[in-house]
Amino acid sequence: MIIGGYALPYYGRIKATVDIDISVPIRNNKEREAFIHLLKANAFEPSVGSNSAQNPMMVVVDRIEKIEIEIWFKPDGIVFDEETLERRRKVSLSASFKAWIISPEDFIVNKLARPDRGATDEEDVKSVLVLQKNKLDLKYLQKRAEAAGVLNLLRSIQSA
Amino acid sequence: MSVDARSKILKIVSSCLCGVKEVVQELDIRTSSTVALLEKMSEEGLISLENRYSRRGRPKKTIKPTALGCEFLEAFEKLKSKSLKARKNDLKHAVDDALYTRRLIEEGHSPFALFMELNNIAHYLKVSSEAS
Repeated sequence: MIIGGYALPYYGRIKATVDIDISVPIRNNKEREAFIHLLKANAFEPSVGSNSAQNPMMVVVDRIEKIEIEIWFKPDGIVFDEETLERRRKVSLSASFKAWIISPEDFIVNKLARPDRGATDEEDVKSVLVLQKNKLDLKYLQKRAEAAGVLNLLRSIQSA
Repeated sequence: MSVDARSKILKIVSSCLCGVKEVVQELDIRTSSTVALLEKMSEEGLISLENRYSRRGRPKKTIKPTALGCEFLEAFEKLKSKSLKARKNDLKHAVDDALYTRRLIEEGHSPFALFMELNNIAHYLKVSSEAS
């Protein structure tokens, strides 16, 4: 599913980004190898070190479009469980192309749990809290934020 | 009891002259649990519980933050705000952006289509600046 900047316009403000972030729930090395094989067969070139099972993310170059995509196996603050997957949403990126995007609650937690979190991430979260007011599942958001250790941060942004 | 819970109670009792009933309503937890929390905070010297007498009925407890409680709340607020990277103005700017996006949606625009348009402009600007 799509996470990060490309999911933002569905829930919050409109802001340009160079990053395409996609999360893929890979459970083991065998699945990881199969996934990399699939990428290569479709003109995507994984970066060096992609085979390392410890790496939570790998960079893939789209050889046709000449763009980089970050593929996250362990996105910050996100637990790949049934609930996360059930809450993702299917959206139309164009007339003929649909994709899954992260839920707004998990989007918020993912943004806040980034170790390199910056002011822009917090602004993105604020814009989602404003635009999705009364639509967010606040109980679920609190549960996930607490588990990711970002509940106080979330409250600060909510009250600011 | 967590630091969060203590600060929440201190915030409530700092904002108005209130009793147990008001704190229960704000916290949305059982009366017995609230009383236990208040007694613990009183023992710690963060709040004072004073009897307020009226003509009718039993005296009611008024909860006030002590000087130590006020200091505790101030330190907690400072600590909490420190973890934020964005300034107040940045977040205000984000709210304005969100409200602008809402207006665009109400006017029938697709946020994702506008995002792609904006991204393309940013991409071409980057490419052209690199070429020159």
